[in-house]
Amino acid sequence: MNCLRIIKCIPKEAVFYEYGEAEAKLLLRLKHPGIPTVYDLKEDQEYLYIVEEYIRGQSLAEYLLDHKISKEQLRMIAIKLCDVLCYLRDCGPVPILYRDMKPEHVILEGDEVRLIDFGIAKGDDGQREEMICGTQGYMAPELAYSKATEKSDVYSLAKTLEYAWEKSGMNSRRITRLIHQATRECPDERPNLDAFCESWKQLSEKQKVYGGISKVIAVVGSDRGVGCTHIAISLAVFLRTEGIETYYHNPYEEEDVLENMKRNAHVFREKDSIIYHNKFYGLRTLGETVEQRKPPEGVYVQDCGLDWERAEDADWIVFVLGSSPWKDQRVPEWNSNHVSILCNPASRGTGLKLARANGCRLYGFPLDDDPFLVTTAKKKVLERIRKEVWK
Amino acid sequence: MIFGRKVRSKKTYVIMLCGMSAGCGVTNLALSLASYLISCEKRRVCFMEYREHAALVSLGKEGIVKCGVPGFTVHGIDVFQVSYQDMEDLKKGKYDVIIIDADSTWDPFWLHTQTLFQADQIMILGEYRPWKYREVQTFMKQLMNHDIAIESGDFYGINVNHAERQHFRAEFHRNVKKLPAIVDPFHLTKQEQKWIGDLLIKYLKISSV
Repeated sequence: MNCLRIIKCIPKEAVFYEYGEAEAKLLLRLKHPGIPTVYDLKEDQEYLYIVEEYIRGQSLAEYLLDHKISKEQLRMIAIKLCDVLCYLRDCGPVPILYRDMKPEHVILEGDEVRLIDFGIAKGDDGQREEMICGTQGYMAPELAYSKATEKSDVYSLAKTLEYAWEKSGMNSRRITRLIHQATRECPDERPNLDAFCESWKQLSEKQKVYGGISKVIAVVGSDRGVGCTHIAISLAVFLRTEGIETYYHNPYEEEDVLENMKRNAHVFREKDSIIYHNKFYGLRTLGETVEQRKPPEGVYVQDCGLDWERAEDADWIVFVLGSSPWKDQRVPEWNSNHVSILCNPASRGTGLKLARANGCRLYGFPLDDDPFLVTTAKKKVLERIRKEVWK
Repeated sequence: MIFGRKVRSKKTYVIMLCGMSAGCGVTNLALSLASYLISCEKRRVCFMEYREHAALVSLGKEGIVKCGVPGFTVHGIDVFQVSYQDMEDLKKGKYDVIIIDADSTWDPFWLHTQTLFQADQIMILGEYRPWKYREVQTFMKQLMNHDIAIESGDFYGINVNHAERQHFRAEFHRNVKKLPAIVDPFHLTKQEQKWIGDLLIKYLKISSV
């Protein structure tokens, strides 16, 4: 056969015999690349023999001891595990719940991801088991008082991914948010398996847009007219003067800030969908119908306006707060500490007052009439933000 | 003192401010004017919000009723969110100046407010930055479609530069007056007080009221 098999021998007197037998019988009827194949079952008076596929590779827990997982790897693992769980749900007359997702049970074999140990997996018959099954720390909280559902598996999967992501030491607000949503205490607030899987797939699509870009800084405002575009342009120009390849980017096709700039101020020039003038470089959004060249590498200052959702995908957020006392001046709670808060415009008194009211540190942006010009007062503030982003 | 007691008229002077786009500083300037008239000129000022959502409600500490119209006070300024009928009632309220803060983004209805409110002075503020200029053009198109006569001297821009003013003049044959930016309308610095005093005399010609 030119491939390896393993034979598991389970003594019939063993305490875990029932689990071993149930697992083998279940695996015998499952056929999926993410699940180990069981070829045959034999028994004699003393033992149950299981002929099973030999799986190489190491568990995710072992892998994380001496490796750091990348964003792309995590996404790939998440999608493949979701795929396995979806298969389990749909393969039989009743959905099968895995119930024991944890890093030790996820085997990485090259690009392949396998799920092992189906000892406590069972069909969802609508009944609650007397004994609580699972692993502490990965088990959904509702199992203490209720039966397991598909969303319990989503919880355990998200906890497994969270463990891997924490070990990587990296930060991504989007991933943090996905995990946060799937690990909510109330199962009704969690996404179902399909939605969770779809979110991970969309994550990859969004990343393709930024292919090759080293950093995205999103500028987002608390209200209309607080000066997001002004600050985004100022920041883009300032970073260029500091020798950092920076592009201003407005992702909303309908606004087309750069087209308006070019049309209404004749100092701007355009080449390869990049509009430039002195130290200002802006990348235009031409829409889906236009095939755009590969975006140049560098730092992207993204003018998000009021789109907080999009801003959360960025590596750093600059949150612009209006200084008018009649506008909403509350700083929202962000999931990450990758946020700089800026008050525009601010005198010393206004800045201090807002910082005290919100209980956080914030920068005061000076009164400014030309975003394309780097003044000393502006430089002082933007320099501090730059240091925060690149520290 | 810009207003001399001898020349002071009993007529209520109505100044209406509206913006071409969000964030161009209408409320800021309107409050600065009101604040200046109250603190430096000792005038009785009524501030009227003519918009969908009352922006200043969050600042109101004390409720008031004047001529049957409910409102509130903010730093000594009487603020009302009103309709035309209320406006007529408030005119009887012995106010020296009524300042109307109209939100252009709400409804094109404001376009008729000059007639409705019989404003003595209208100020249209815009942001003439190249990336906001589309909104200026849309506003001007609306103005022309409704056949509203706005005098050349009624357009203002905060920190508008020479190139932006020239661009606007070339397209619409109207002059734009430059205004300085004011950080906090409730705590005006001496420099800011001087600017607003100049604005009242030079542009709004209020001294002759």
